[in-house]
Amino acid sequence: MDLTFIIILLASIGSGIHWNLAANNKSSLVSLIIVLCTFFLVTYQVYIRGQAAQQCPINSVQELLIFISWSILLFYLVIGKIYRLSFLGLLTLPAVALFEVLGLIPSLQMAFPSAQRAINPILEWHVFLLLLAYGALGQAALAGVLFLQLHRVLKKSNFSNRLFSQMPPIGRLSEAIKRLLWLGFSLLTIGIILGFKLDYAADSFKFYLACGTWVSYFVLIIVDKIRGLPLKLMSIYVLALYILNLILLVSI
Amino acid sequence: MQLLCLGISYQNAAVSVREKFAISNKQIIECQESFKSMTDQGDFVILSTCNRVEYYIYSRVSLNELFERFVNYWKEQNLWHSDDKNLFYQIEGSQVFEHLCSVLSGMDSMVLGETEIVKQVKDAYHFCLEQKFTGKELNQLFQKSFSVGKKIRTQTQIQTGQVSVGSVAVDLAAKIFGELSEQKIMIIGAGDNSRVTAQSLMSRGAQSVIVSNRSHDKAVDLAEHLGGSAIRFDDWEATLAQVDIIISSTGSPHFVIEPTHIEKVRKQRKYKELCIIDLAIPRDVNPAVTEFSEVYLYDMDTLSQLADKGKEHRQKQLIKAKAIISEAFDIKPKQAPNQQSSPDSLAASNFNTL
Repeated sequence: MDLTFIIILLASIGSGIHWNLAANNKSSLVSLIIVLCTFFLVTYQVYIRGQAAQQCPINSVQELLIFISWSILLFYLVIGKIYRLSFLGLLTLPAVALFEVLGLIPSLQMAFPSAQRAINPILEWHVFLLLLAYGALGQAALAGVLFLQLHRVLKKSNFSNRLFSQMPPIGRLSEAIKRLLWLGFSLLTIGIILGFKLDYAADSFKFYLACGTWVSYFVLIIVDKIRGLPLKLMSIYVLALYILNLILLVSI
Repeated sequence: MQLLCLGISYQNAAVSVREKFAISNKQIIECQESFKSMTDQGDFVILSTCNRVEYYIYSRVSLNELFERFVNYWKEQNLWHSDDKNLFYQIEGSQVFEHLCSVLSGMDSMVLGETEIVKQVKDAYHFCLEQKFTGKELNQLFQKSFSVGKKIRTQTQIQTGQVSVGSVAVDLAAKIFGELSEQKIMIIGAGDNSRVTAQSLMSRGAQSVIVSNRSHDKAVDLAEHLGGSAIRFDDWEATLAQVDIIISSTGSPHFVIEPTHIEKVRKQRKYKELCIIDLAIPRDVNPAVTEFSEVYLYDMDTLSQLADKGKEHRQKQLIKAKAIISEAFDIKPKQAPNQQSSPDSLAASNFNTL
């Protein structure tokens, strides 16, 4: 069976197990093992493609999506442990499954015109950091979705929601969203600085997109820092910005 | 020789009766010879908490005879009143094990599923163990009961969900802020409801409390009791920007907290989450404050409904818990712990199967 299908299957089954455990007010090591297995398989998927291209595998939208999936899983494994947000697995695995499924659309598998590029360490780092940033910002968006759900439950006092007792506190989600935003923004900044040292930067749409993303997140962070933002508004912005960026990235 | 239990609890004895029979560790040591004599040199563990006083005994004396001896002893101590006889429950044989498991799992507690009783029983048992008041049979009884009690707590959800308005409020605040140790609390109205809820918050780590009340003296009293500070009632609005949790319980006939109060401090608070617990009837907080996305408001109705659901949920766990006890001792669940045992149950009792 094709590796992509195995990943989609595993991520889908894992999502089901996560939802089932959360709905029944339970936690299990099984869900973490499934996330780890998915992460290793996606890592292997990136490795195979990297070996085939002998460079960072970003030669098609499908490969970009695979790389972002890997990055989102990586940040889930890091922040899930640090901020005790294992509940985010509920959204992380479906997101990975979705990205892998989207990658199967034939038009998204077509190689970019610039696929055959010369090996350049700065370029590889530039690409790697930008995609890592997309992972951090993606995880921030998922934490935002979780916040919006919890916010709705708490506002409407709808405590019969089966997932409510398993959801992490708003304070922890807020901290995770803001730190992931900073982390993603920092990675994006370094990646863009490296991009300015590359010849291709001046005429690459992807580079302009990264700059646009940088500016939008910069405004969001500064506004929050200076005057503060209600977390609901911030979550909506983080989610909307990410979806917008993904749409632009996919429609290149 | 058989296992016996004499006791009174909150279920049928008022606190004025329970406190008469309450016994401290010091008194147990002082009276140990009397207890040994009454039990014919038997073994005993005495559990004395605010909700129950129970004597677990392993002795050759029959249950009726033992109870008579205790009654005489209490009469000598001027503790006994003729009405007290019906307040005591007398249990023997296997039902002692069943009863102790119920006590340990919180099934027999005033607040169903509460956990404090485990430590209280453990302390009572270890004290009597150290004093060499226990023997093999009582040790087996307690060890096995601890194990069954733990099983009930882990395999059922008897301690999940909150059953009081105060603890529900604390859970909601914790769902918003996570750790409560960093959060500042403001109490508006120094009534009992506020005090109990603030104490619940502080038991979960909250440290900073500001109390405001129309009568400033009352505010000062409560602030001292909680280890916080008091402010004049006119100053609560100015303090609003600094706090994360508000507990309001004034006797005001109209709203005390209006949306305009929140609006004024939103920017200053940088839109940080604000949890408002409105314990007053009529309500102190205008529900329109929930229009602000960072404000989470819970009134008495919401909190009471949640507490009732918590109680209902714990009640449902009783069936599972009784099944675990039955399985542990291979006996049928009993109906009530406070009924005197029949001769039939006496014959059926066989603690050696433990």
